Amino acid sequence: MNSQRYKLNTPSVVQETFDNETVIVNLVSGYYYSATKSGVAIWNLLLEGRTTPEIASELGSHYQATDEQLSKAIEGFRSQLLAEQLIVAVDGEQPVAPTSSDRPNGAPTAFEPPILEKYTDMKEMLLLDPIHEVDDSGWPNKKKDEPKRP
Amino acid sequence: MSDSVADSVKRQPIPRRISLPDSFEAVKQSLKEAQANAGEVIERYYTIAEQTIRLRFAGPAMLPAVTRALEHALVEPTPHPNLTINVWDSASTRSRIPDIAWFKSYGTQPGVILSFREGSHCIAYQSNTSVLSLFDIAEKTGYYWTDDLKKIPYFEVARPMSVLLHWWFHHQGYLVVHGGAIGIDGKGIVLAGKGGSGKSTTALLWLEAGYQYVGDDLCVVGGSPGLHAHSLYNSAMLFEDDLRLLPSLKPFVAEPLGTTDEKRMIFLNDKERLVKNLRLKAILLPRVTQHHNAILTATSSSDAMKSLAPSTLMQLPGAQASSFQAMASLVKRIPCYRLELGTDRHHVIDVIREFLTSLDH
Repeated sequence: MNSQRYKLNTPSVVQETFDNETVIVNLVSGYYYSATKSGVAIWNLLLEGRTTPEIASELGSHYQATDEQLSKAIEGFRSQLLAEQLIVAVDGEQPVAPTSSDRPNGAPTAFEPPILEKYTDMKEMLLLDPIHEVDDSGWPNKKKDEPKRP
Repeated sequence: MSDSVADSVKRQPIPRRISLPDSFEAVKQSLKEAQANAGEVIERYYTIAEQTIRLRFAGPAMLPAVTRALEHALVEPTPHPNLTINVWDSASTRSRIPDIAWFKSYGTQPGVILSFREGSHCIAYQSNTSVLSLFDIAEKTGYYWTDDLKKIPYFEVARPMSVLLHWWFHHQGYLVVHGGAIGIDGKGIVLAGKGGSGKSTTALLWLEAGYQYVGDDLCVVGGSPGLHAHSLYNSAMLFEDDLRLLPSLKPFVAEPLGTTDEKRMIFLNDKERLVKNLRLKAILLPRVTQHHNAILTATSSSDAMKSLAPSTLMQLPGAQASSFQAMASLVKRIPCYRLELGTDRHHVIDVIREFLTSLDH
């Protein structure tokens, strides 16, 4: 639904935007994520409670892209975020939060589709032994059949 | 966990409401019984990151499992410690397992990390360590219980009470991070990265080379004036074969506890090399590569955040949202670098030394 608004899936998810990247951690699943390109702006606009048309309008003044291109990219990105349970739908009309600075500025540039990279290594690494373990080269090496650690 | 409690997992319904004050009362009852049965309470005092912590043991049985990794921080008794932690196990003290319904329902399942907070009460259970940790913020009192000390795994002996200490230091405005810390002339760096990144190896090779060392796995960051990395544990874990690379650590190898099998722990009590803290100048993110030489290059705050935050948050339950924000502030505040570890292990020491000596005090 184009008019649907969303918010961060708290308290399971924590996030922080840096210069060109947003780092997101799902504390329940152990997965963490990196949003880059236009994904940084879309992420922050979604967290402000903006709808797809509102986000497309905002991005339209910064990117050389049609409304259709932008809406399609936003919808696809939002679907990824929902599938990963990083955001949740908000019922009813919500007030739009103050404008964030985490969005593109300056003259319009070529549209860079949003990217959400998922990291699953933390779950795997939780199975690694915390022991200082080295291979023949003297650096750590993953070992099989290790006990679980915190 | 006893069979009777394990059996109860299948029968107990999952409670919808968890009353932490009731849980604390149940734990205090177990403690009271343990102290009475043990016949003595043994106290030890430690200073870590400017905080004095009093440990109160119900009898002597738990001392070897808890105190060895803290021995470097041992101090004389003081009348007003900042934090008190009560320590006991039910097996050696013949005391009751805390009668907590939710713990019996959830707490015995494998792979479970539970963490709750209600008001000033915090509680966590990690099934892989078999340790129940409780913290009363208002009372500045912690409780560290396990049913049988023989079930405490070697990695808990190497870093005992990490959850309780994480809560306490967080409450004091510090941050416990999953990272090693090393330095020279009082200037330090944090080596951040998940297990297998090479941070522990780098820290121990640095130690072997005779330079200042704070820790290889967890450290406390914060303090004023100026940001410091503080030593938390004196321990490191290795395989017997690793000692060929680290011969100066052999005198510090401990006799294994019952659960350590082929792993060897060192408890470094070397006040020349193991220092209380270092002024934190940078965060380095090691990564094992097949290059010959080590390479140090500047990287972004977000890159550091991805190395530091997930592995810290997954290991230290409770206060995760605010810890995440504190880590974000940290990586934005100080410079961050990628450290590509080459096959020449000694070259990395040269690279770090040149980097640290080039920094202002």
